[in-house]
Amino acid sequence: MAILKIAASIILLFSCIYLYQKENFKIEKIALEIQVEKIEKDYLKTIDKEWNGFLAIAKDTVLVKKNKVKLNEFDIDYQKITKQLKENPNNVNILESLIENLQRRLQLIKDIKEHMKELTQKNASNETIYIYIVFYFFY
Amino acid sequence: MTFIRYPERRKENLLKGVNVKTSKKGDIVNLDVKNSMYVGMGNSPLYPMDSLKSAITNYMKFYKKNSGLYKTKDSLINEIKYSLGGELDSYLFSNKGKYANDAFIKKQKDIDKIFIIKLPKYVAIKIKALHSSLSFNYDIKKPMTANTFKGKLKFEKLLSKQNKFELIHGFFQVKEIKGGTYFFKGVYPTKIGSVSNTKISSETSTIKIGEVGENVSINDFSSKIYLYNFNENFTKFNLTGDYTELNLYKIKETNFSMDVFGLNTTLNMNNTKTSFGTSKDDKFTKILEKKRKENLPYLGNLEIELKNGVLNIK
Repeated sequence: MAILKIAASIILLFSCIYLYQKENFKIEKIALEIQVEKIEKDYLKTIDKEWNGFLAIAKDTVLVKKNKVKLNEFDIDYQKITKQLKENPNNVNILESLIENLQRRLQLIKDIKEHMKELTQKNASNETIYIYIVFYFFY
Repeated sequence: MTFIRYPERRKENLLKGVNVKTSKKGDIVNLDVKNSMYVGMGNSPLYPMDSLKSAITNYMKFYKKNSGLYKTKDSLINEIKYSLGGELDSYLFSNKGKYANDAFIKKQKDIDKIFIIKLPKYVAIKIKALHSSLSFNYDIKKPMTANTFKGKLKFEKLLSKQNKFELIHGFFQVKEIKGGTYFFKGVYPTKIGSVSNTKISSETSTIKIGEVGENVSINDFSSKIYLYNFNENFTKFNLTGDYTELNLYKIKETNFSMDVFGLNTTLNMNNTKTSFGTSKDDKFTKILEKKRKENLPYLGNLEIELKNGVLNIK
C-alpha cells in the first residue's frame, strides 16, 4: 500500500513538472508570436504608407510596374518564410529572414522615393558642364 | 553537420531532409544536394527578437551614412577577403557586443554546417542553386555558368571569358573578373575587386567596383553603382542607365576623358544639385564633358547615358 502511495506521488510530481514545462513553453511561444506579429504589422503598415506615397509622386508607369513586380516577388518569398516560421516557430534564422525581407521591401520603396526626390531639383540647366583636370603637387 | 542543443528526433528529421545524389553521364558529373531552405542559411543566432529589429534598423542607418565613402581597390578586396557573408551578417557579427545576449545564445539550437566539395581545377562548372551559400577558394580559369536565387556567392578570381552568371537576390563577392556576362537582379551587395572585358546587366542591385579595367560595359535599371577607380589603361567604359544612381570618384585627379549624356538627370557636384535634360522632347543632352590632359599618361574614355538618373561626382 505504501509503495503504491509513493508511486502515485512520483507520477503526480512528474505530471506536474511536465505540465509546468509545457505551460511555460506555451507562454514563451505565445510571447514570441505576439512580438513577431507586432513587428510584421508595424512593417507592413509602413510599407503600405511608403508605397502609397510613391504612387502619389510616380508618373512613370514602367517604373511603377517594375517596382510592383519586385514587391510581389518579395511577398512570394515572405509567404514561404512565414510558412517555414509556423513549422519552426523558434528558429531565429527564419525570423532574421522574415525581418530582412520586410526591411528590404521598405528600403526598396524608400530608395526609389529618394531617387525621385533627387530628380526634382530647383536648379535646372541645359548647358554642358566642363571638368578640368587638377593635379596637386606637394613639395 | 554539428547539432547544438537539438533533440534527437529533430536531428533525425533534419538529416533525413538532407539529400545528396551524384551521377555520371559521359564526361558530366552531377551533384544534387537538397535540404531544408533555412537550415543552410545564416550564421549562429545571436540576438533575441527585440534587439534583432533594432540591430537591422541601425545597420540600415550605418550603411546609408557610410555607403558613399571612397574606397581603394585593395580596401574593397580586403572587405571581400574578410567578409563573413552579406553586409548585414558582417554588421551583426561585428556589433554582437552591443546587441547579443549570452543567456539567449546559450538557449538557442544551432547547426554548424559545412559541405566541402573537392573539384579538379580543369572542370567547367554549372551551378543551379536556390538559397545556397557557395564559396570557391581558388581562381577559376575554366568557364562557369551560374543561375542562382538568393545565393550567397563568394569567389577568388573568375578568369574565363565564357562565364555566364544570372543571379537573383542574395549577394555576390569576387576579387577579380576577367571576362564574361553577368546579370544581377536585386543582388545586394555586388562587390567586385576589379573587372575587365565584361558585360554587366543589372536591376535594383548595389554594385561596388574597386577598379574598372579594359572594355567593361554596364546596362542598368534602378541600381546604385559605385565605381571607385579606373585602371591605367581601361581604354573605354560604357554605361547606360535608367533610374540609376552612379557614383564616380577622384574625377578631377585622374587623366581620362568623359562624356555624360542625360535625360531628366540630376548631377550632384561641388555640393550643388542641378537637373539636366528635363525637356519634354525626350532627347538626351550632353550634361558633362571632361577632356584628357595632353602630355600625361591617358587612361581611356567614359561614355555614360543616364535617363532619370542621379550622378554623384565625388
